[in-house]
Amino acid sequence: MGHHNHYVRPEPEHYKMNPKVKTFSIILMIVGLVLFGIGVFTNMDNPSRIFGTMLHNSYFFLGIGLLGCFYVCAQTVGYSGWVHLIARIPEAMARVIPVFGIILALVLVFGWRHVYEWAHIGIEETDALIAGKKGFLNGTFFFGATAVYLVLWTVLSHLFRKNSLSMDTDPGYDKYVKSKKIAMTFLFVFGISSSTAMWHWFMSLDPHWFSTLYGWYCFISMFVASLAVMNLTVIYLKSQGYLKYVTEEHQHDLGKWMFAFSVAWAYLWFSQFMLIWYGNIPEETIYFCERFDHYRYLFFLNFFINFPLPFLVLMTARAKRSPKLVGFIAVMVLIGHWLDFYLLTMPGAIKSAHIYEHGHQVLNVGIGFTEIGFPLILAGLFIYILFSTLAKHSLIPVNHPFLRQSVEHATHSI
Amino acid sequence: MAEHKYLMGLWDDEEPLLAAVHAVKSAGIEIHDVLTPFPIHGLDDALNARETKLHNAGFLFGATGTAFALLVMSGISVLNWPNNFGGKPFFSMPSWIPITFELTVLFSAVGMTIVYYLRNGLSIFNDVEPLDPRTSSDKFAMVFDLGQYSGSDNMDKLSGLLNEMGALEVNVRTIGRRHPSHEEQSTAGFVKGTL
Repeated sequence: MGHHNHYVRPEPEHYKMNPKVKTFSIILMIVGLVLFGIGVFTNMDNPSRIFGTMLHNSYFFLGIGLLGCFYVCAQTVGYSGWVHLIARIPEAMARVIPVFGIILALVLVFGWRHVYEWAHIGIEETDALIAGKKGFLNGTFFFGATAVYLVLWTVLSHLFRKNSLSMDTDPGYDKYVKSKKIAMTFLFVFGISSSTAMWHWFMSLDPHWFSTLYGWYCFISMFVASLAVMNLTVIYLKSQGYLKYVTEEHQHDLGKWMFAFSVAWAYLWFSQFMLIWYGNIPEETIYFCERFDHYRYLFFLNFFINFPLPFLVLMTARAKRSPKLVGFIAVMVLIGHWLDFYLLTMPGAIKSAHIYEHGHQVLNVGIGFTEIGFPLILAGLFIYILFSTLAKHSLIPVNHPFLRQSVEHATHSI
Repeated sequence: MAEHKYLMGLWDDEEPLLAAVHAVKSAGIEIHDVLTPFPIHGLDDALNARETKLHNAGFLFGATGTAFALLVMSGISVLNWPNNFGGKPFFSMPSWIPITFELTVLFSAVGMTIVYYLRNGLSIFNDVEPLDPRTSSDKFAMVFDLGQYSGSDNMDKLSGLLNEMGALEVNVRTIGRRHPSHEEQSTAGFVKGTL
């Protein structure tokens, strides 16, 4: 009751980066570098595996930041009040977009001919289907579009964050209006580019095959991973004594997001699978046949870890309010959606290269040093950027007009 | 049907009501119920309201729907009348998932609705007498079961406390008779200062 009468405006809360976090991220990067080095050294004859892994992981971590920006923009446009106490976390996650964007761009520039079958020189003379898609799948359009996506995402996420931070020192209603305008622009750009980027970067790995809901599928998959990172960051910061205004109620709602979008992911996974299974057209079923025949355990593990597990564990309100359970599920779905993107990327990235370079097909390279080392490097980098960004400003947007609503937020759903 | 006598304090705003709930609770008096026109943040906590079991019922109804859908469809298409549709196996799990999903949602929603109305006494089989119709309009009521506070000392203390906490009215209401007598209708109502 008391809070209705005695609302105290929160003071700015400054996070100081724990040296352990820095050490941890550096250790992750070094371990990753060693493992990846071994992987690269033992796979010199298979560049498509190395570049496939790099494509998979550089987008995976870029996507986590990107969907963080999407989350905070969608909440802003939706007049959300409760989110503002934690909104600085997705805003800081969006800081990784330029860094991982550059890594992704480098991977594409140096590796595109190794991972994309449509990029093999002279392929359109022997492959009529690829020749028919030449208007979309060609180097100029591919790299031009990639540059446009990365620049727009970087600029808009930077503008949003800059405007949000400027509210701390120089409040004003016009800043709030401006944040809505930037958020709407980002959502419009992202609404289109989230699909088209996925067609360019991932669907074209299997250039004969297509799926109309592929863009949404990738979007939801990354969204769950991004929400998992948000949940873990909130749990970690709270365990360090920060975010004291963030209560069980906020954590409950963040848990609901992760729960709900795990269901949405399963909906899209199944919609894509069932239509292809039911239609039974060879050029469509080949996508699932490859994964089912050569990646059978991972294929089922991917579904189990990303749907039944979070669905059953996080179903009750009490589970969503338990940092232990939510943290456990967040780690599991983070691994799960990493695996999901592995299954989107690797079968397509490695299958064509072998035919051209070795004359025979290798359909499964498994998960080895390369596949584990590279994500460790990027995870270390991600953690370092995220926490050093959080340390630069107040964790609470003290002048946001909806802050009181966020402080007093309660669902009372127990 | 048994008769029940209730004492009600009425307020016209949520904040004094919440303050009164806390005061009454800390005086160790058991509140039977609080009736408000809209949900009030913090009221459930103040009343130590028990967690609803409705979602458990929802889960059970949903699981029943899942089992029902799968059993009926496999019974029909595998045992009773197997047909070849496009070379698919008779036991065609993926194509049954949408129907199973729909029946799960349907069973769960309909089952929860029925249980909700049965348990809170608002089903069509109950003849519901509102304690005070104004609690669905602009008044907030705190209700005490007079079965527990029958002594006149206690009643005086209770109504005194409610008046102290800013109650606009304190009434006694008897419900539970299907057809209240003429006399009772005129006296049981909302007369200030019944106590």
